[in-house]
Amino acid sequence: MMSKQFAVTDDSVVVVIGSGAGGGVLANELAQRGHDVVCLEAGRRLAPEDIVNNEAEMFGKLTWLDPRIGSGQAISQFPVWTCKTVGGTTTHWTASCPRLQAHEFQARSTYGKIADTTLVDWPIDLQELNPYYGLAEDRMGVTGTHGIPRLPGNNNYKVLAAGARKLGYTQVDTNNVAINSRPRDGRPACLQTGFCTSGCVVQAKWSTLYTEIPRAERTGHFELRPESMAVAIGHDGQGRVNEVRYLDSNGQLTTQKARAVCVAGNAVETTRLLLNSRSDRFPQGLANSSDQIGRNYMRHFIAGVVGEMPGAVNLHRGAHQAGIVKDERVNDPKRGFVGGILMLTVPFAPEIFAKFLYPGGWGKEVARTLENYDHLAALLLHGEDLPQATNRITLHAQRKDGYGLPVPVVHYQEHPNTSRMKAYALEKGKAVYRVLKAKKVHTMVDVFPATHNMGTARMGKDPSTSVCNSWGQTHDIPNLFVADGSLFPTVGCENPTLTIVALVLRQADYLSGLLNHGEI
Amino acid sequence: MRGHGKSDMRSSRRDFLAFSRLLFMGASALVLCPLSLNADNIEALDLETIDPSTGLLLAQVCRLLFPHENLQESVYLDVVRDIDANIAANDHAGTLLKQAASILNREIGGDWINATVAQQLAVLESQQQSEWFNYLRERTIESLYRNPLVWKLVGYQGSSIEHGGYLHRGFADIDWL
Repeated sequence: MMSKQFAVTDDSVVVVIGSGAGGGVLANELAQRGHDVVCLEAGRRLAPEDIVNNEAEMFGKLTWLDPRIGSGQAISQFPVWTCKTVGGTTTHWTASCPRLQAHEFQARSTYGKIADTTLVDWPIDLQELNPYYGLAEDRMGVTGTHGIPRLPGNNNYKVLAAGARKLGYTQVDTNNVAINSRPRDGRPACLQTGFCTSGCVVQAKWSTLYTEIPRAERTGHFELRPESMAVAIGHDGQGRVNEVRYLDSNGQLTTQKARAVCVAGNAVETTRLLLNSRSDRFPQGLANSSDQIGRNYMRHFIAGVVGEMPGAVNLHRGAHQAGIVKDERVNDPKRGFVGGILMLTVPFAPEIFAKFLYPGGWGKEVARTLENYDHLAALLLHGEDLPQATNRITLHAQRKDGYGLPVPVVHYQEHPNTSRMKAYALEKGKAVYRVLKAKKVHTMVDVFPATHNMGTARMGKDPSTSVCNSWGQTHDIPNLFVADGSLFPTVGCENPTLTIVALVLRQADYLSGLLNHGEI
Repeated sequence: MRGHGKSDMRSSRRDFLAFSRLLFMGASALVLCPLSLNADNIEALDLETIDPSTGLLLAQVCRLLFPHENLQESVYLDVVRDIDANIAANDHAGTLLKQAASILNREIGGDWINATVAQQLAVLESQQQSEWFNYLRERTIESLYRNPLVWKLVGYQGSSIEHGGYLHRGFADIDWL
């Protein structure tokens, strides 16, 4: 069936910008309820045969490669690793789906006042989000929920679990992942191909590319426009948004009229679009009367630990993050920091080890380690990062990208709390492999671009210190919404996608109500 | 592209050789032999931009950066071919390569390629902060560690979907824990 097509002059449509975890789910949910939606996606739509088991090739097909500038401790040429393709980062993600913990919604109340942070509580608590977490897990087929069995553990998991248990950890399992452990929802079970982050050939891993998007198309209320790069959102005389200007697949500037606009471009692009939408009425960009757009940029600290084990591991075989240790995710200030830490399995291909095991390294010792590839076990540590007003995404004053848009600048400096947490986490991670008699243990620290990007249009009750209310509706403009990780007031230590999906399902309820009652 | 069928046999033999050598000599005893390639091998690559003597020098630089004793040297020629393709589309990279050759020769006071491996290494070490060095390190990694012959050597198995993934092929076969 041909999907519906809407006229660019049709001002009754909701325009959703982005087709990933936020945009893809929100657009489908609205379409299912009979609201007409145009979804603008900057990337192209890959066909099943475009997805192959080759990391380098898929990196080129999935990644947002237009220039971004990192400053401070952000990687200078490639500060964030996000996707530019239909499905957004749900093509690349590892499908790790832990929920945030209750205390992480009350970070300010739990952690207290911490210097040089803009720490706040969320405007909602876990209890409020729990029903939507349940809906999200069911929709995405998250293992260990709704009677869905967990995945079997691979070799890399077995090493992590054995080491962790020897250290006395008890919360060790194959994680809650949005990867089918048995056929479900028209998609097959995981074959343990080992290429989660390259797009799942099997489609066992949930991605909006082959779930939400085609379902939305079948409603007759949804049109996807791939290779459509939003450049600015326009507004009417009352200060309500009423159109989105975008460059279409031929580079032609086009204007789509809109009844409401939802921005789900991942933190960097959401920030850029809102800041770039300047007018006489909104000289600082849209929804930015608080000057908070782009501020409070958070990522998780991410570090790898790699053990050269006494026997073969073959860590490249199997689902990437079906392995987790949760004991360290509590808030225990006696450790010398606030917030928690997760340990997750992670595999890397030889190229990534060559680049990062010995940063800048070369020579015999590096080659020797790489020849020991099949004996390597690896885990990833991530921990809560605290909001700081000065960690910020801005637009470069002169540099433009291929679209003629100002290049985003991502500035990040680690808070001392994060530095202490990282040092603690690395010691614990190394201990996991040492206790199993690893011959050598390596760490990969401060080498990865940020994949979890959050906080730059945060929710809050106070319009002077936040951008959106708890529904993701901007305080300044009632028919402008944000629908991605930018909403997070704080980030906990868990992978963000499940929480993004839960938040946009809640947003869809609210927005649908407003549309039905003619309030926007 | 790189004649997988034939090289599979060759590389399993190399794996065996690698294994026995490690067994009898111990990894630390491995000494890198001088490069056995010559300018004729480079000429045969029919490179677009890189001249044969620079090509030979690059092959040896790449080999010293990531020295895999039991890898056929032609794999390092593949790296040179990939660098050639990269600089065809990148003027700045071409400049970096010219710098690399002239600095290496200048530092050795003659032809770097004819120096001993120890001398060659000493010069490389003195240059490891330079832009050209990092360019070559990155290019070498992105060529070498995407090469199926190298994957085979280190034990990375590449694409698995055509074999049904690892669900029935050892994703959980660990036996030493």
